[in-house]
Amino acid sequence: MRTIALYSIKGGVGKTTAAVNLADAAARSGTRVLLWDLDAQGAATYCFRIRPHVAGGVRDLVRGSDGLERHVRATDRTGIDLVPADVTLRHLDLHLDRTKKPTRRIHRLLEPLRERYDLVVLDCPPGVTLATESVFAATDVLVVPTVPSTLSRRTLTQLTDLLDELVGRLPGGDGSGHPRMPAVWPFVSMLDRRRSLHHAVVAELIEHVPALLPTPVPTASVVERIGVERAPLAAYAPRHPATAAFDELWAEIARRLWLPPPAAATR
Amino acid sequence: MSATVVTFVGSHHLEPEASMDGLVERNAAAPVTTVLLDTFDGRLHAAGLLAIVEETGAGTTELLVAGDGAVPVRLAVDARPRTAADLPVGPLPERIGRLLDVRVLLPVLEVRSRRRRLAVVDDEGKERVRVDVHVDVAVDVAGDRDDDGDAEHDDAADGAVFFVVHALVGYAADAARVRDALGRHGTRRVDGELPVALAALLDVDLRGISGTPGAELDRRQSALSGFRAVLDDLAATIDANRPGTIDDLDPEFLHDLRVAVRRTRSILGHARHVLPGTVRDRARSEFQELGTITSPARDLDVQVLEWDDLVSTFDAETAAALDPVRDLLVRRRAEAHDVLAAELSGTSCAELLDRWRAWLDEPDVDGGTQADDPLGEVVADRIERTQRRLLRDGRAIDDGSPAAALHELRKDAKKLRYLFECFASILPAAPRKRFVTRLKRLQDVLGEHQDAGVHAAQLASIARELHASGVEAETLVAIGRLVELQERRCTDARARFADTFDEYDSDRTEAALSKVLGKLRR
Repeated sequence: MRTIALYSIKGGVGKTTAAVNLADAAARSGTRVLLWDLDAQGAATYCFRIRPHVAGGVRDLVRGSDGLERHVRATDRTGIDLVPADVTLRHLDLHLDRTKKPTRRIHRLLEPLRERYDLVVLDCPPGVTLATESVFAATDVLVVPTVPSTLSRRTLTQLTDLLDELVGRLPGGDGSGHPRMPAVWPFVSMLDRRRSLHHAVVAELIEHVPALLPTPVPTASVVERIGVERAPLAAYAPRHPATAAFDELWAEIARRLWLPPPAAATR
Repeated sequence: MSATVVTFVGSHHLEPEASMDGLVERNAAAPVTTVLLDTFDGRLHAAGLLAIVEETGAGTTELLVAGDGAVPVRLAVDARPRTAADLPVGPLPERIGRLLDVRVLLPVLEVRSRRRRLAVVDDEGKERVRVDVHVDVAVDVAGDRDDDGDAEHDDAADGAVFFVVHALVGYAADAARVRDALGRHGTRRVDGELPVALAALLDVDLRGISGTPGAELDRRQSALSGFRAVLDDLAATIDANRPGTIDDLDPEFLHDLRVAVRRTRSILGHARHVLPGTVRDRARSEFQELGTITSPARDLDVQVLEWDDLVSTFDAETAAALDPVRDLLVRRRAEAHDVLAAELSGTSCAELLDRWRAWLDEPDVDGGTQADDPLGEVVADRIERTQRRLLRDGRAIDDGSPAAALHELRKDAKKLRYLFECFASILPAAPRKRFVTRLKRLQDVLGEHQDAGVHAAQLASIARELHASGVEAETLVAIGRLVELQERRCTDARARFADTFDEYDSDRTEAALSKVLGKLRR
């Protein structure tokens, strides 16, 4: 099981849209996906038409007394199950703080589902909180939607600085628990090809961020309609370039996650 | 926790929307062909997985991979996948490929129907349970799975309607309500997706055809009937694998056919005084010939299958220099398979197998002097003799013995192993497994020694041939390194032989064997 988190310090960059559509693209390529909506706004939950209800509230969810499994709901898309969010998630930090090893909590809650799913997608709220650190410790890769603007670019740098700071403090940084800090794979979100500033920021990202996922997602009204259609793009706009962009973005992520690197020559 | 699927078989009078609250149509009726895929030996079924291809009249093809309790996945595919390489990059090729290994997916059961898709939908517009309704159902069963040989089973559905109820995770109560409603309307419930339900209704065995000997025996039955049952089981394996070998569907068909032929020869060898001499002598000679026919194609199969692993230890330049060798092996493999297919399709092969099955089917045949002895006694005697010979030959091998001596010992070990495999049903399980584990360790070393030696000689021969055809010097140098690698494998195996044989030739092996023999003679 691999875990990716759609994360950005900044809000409004397209995290939920990416989480929903990458989960869908993954499922349509044969991946068993669990999407965990960690944002109290419950936008991913809403997009899959699932009632925003966490049985027992966030307290029970975090305690994990009955396991994460009881919260899982099938979506209408084959291959995607979802752990819904509700407003009680606004107290996630509070309840994490009351557990032992709070930064290991999300990892521990996911552990029993390791054989059931190939991929966990965490849809994270913006900001830097205790929950963020718990997400980092549970995640192989942070997929970071980056709007080609100066402010969004700045938060990408802030994120890498934050991870550098956390090394040694998060489990695994000191050689125990999580084996390593998550990789950071940004991608360009909401690209408007008519704007020269977007071109300039993208060029700068290509030059300075080697881990950048090469496929940009364009800004398009069809993408914004996700909240109206309440389904992934492929369900209502299967031939739109934005759908193709998410599919290609997923293919690139899948290649990085599952294709073995070339074998080292030994003789 | 994931979707569990139940199929209900009902009458065409049943109107689902009228019978169940909240059920709405999601897709109107349209033709669909649903094909259940598995390997010839049912590897997906054994792993609790289903691979189902759905081909619609609109020209779309989707693959559904599901299983009891497994999260199902559905993906668009260009055509029916045959190998893991036909699937998109991601976890699925690894998941399926691990099970398939070198086998290909083949159709087991094909269902043609008109399908309507219904669902119970809540006020958010979310599906809470899905119901597929299939009418005008006709079924084809793959020839090798069809006991009565009647490939078409259009009458099986007999105008019935099939309701396939998909329970969704987190909405179990809704599925239960639909299942209860269907149950109240006098339907018949069968667990599983439509093709699985139809397989159950038609008594189609989804376990596939295994190459493992499976004759059910009793140690008190006569030796003649026991040996004939084993030989009949092996003949069935040869028959079952012959079409797939001729069509070169995957390398396991030839492997299983060849092993069944070798087991037949070996059991015939042990059948002295049990089977009538004339029948036994003729069959031994004919099956030896059949085995010989299969050798070149199987040897080349192995070389091609092992090629990637073999060259993966070299740097990219050396590996590229070896491309002409791989191309030659692939070409020769294809040629060898053509020759083999012609032989196996020929009348003499068909006559041999027909004659042999006819003799095995004859109700009353005379046997040799031990024909009426209890099977357990005779098998115990053969095991004891073969083990004695193996120990004698193994103890005679020292550092100066030729490679041929180890090859002969390998044959002894195989004969013993085949006895344990073919008569497994009358051997006590625990000591049998202990003994076979020890024997297998010895066989692994002998096999490594023999295979590496043969491959080194074959590569040297290929080098001479390519040299004569003017191949690049880099290729010859790279072959030299391959030959060296194989010779090192051979030498290493030879160096391990003495300790491995000593470990085999021990009290613990003897103790396991005594328990096996004791049970056979009790």
